[in-house]
Amino acid sequence: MKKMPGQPLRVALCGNPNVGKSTVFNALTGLRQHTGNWTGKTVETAEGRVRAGDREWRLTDLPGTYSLLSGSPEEEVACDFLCFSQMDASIVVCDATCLERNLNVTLQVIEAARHVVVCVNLMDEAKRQGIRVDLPRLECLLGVPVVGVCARSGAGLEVLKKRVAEAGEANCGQCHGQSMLRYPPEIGEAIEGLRKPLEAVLPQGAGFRFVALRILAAGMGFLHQALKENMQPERQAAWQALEAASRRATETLEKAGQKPEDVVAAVVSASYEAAGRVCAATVNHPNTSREERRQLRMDRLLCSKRVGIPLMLALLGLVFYITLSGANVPSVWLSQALMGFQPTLSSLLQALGTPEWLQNLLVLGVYRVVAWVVSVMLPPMAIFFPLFTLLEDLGFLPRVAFNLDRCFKGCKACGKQALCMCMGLGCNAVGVTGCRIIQSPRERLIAILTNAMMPCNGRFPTVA
Amino acid sequence: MQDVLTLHELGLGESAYVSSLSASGAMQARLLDLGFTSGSKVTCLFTSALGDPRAYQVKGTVIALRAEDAQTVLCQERGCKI
Repeated sequence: MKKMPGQPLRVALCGNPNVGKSTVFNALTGLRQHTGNWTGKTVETAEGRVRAGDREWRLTDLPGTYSLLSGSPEEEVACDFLCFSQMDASIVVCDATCLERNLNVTLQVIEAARHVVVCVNLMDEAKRQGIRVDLPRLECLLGVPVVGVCARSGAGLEVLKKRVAEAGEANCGQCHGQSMLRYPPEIGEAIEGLRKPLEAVLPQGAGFRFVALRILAAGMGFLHQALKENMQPERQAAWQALEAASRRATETLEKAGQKPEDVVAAVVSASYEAAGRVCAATVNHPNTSREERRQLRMDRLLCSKRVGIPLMLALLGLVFYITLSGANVPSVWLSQALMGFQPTLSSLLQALGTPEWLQNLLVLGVYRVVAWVVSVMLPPMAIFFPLFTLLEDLGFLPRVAFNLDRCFKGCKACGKQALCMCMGLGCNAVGVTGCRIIQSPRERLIAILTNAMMPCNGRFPTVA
Repeated sequence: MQDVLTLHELGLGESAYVSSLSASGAMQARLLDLGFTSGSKVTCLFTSALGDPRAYQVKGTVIALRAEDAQTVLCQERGCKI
């Protein structure tokens, strides 16, 4: 199945949240990317083009997930994409500092997709923490290419491109890696039982194992959705056979005491168990290091009643003070500079012989409003957001959310909403977008709806 | 089997091994994804300022759980660590 040269390679990028997936995506694509939404789902998607040697790829950034089977919208999107869209290759991004939990999703992706390449990111951070990862051994155990990279500095990205191109163009019979997951015997039998009927309806080259697991866990609905164009009348017999086989398999499993949610549990347990085995053989952790103990002492201090809460109030107060009072200086300066340019602009337009109504429209209307907005809104934003980012990078904000969760829980909301509200003080649009960090749909909705009540930078001076 | 307890009963700095989850549906799936699979070692690291969510270390990462969610994680073999 060698691809024609000149056709772009289709590559998917997936992995856990917070492992530097976007950094890898940005480093690979540069600015050649665009974002949008998955049709019918409120899940964000990004696609970008990558130049690798003489070939071009189309790289799709899938939502970050901890697993592929638990049924959140993000996971459904990622899982459908990996199972059915027949990518030439899929990259799984892992964090070298906590490889075990990243291997959980990695092993599931290897189960679901073909031509998988594992990209172990943050190798520099792992080295700093004294964690050693035996990449060649990992590659051998997983049975798919493994590349260590450090996306922030760009180290290893060229190797990654090369290995992905090799995997994507591979003319191999065994596209799917060997399964490393050990399911309970009755689930293993149910998967095998679905193999024949599934292969009759699946597009060529798609793996049946993970699709079978999803049928056992969630029924046939997703399959009808994903394979709409494969439901021609002449295939009806095959679909009916699959329908019957899946009903039989579910019944047999239920008799053996395995409900659909137990299937999900069994898969996740099996992949964590395999991840544990692989990690034990490849990762060398130092014993509780001095840094870890220092971190724990810091955490206990930041989250104590006597120090944590006052410190939190003081720091947020300081950020406000700096933003509000500090912004006045550049604000006045910007306003003077921009307004000072207005007469020059007027005389320029006059010299060009523009009619007076157009002059008024352009100068008194457009220019003055833009100048006003820029001089009032730009300085506080340029101060607030970097300070906020600094607090976030220091890990202070997650601790604020942790400390405040109890208060928010009293309002049936989630502590993470504190972060969205702070973002809302900078800009409500950013605050609302940030609400996606909240897991529970109801708590997320509360956070979105109430965010508009936070006065943003533009409104704050008017209110205060 | 000795000393069955829920994660919520674990003292500060104590650790135990997960034996099973009593939650169902989405919460069970979420806990499993976060690494609370049976056999994993969990350590209670610290408590938030107001006492309720507590931070647990599991599989190399720190995860915050509310009391009602921690109560659904059944553990055994309590032991001291830090």
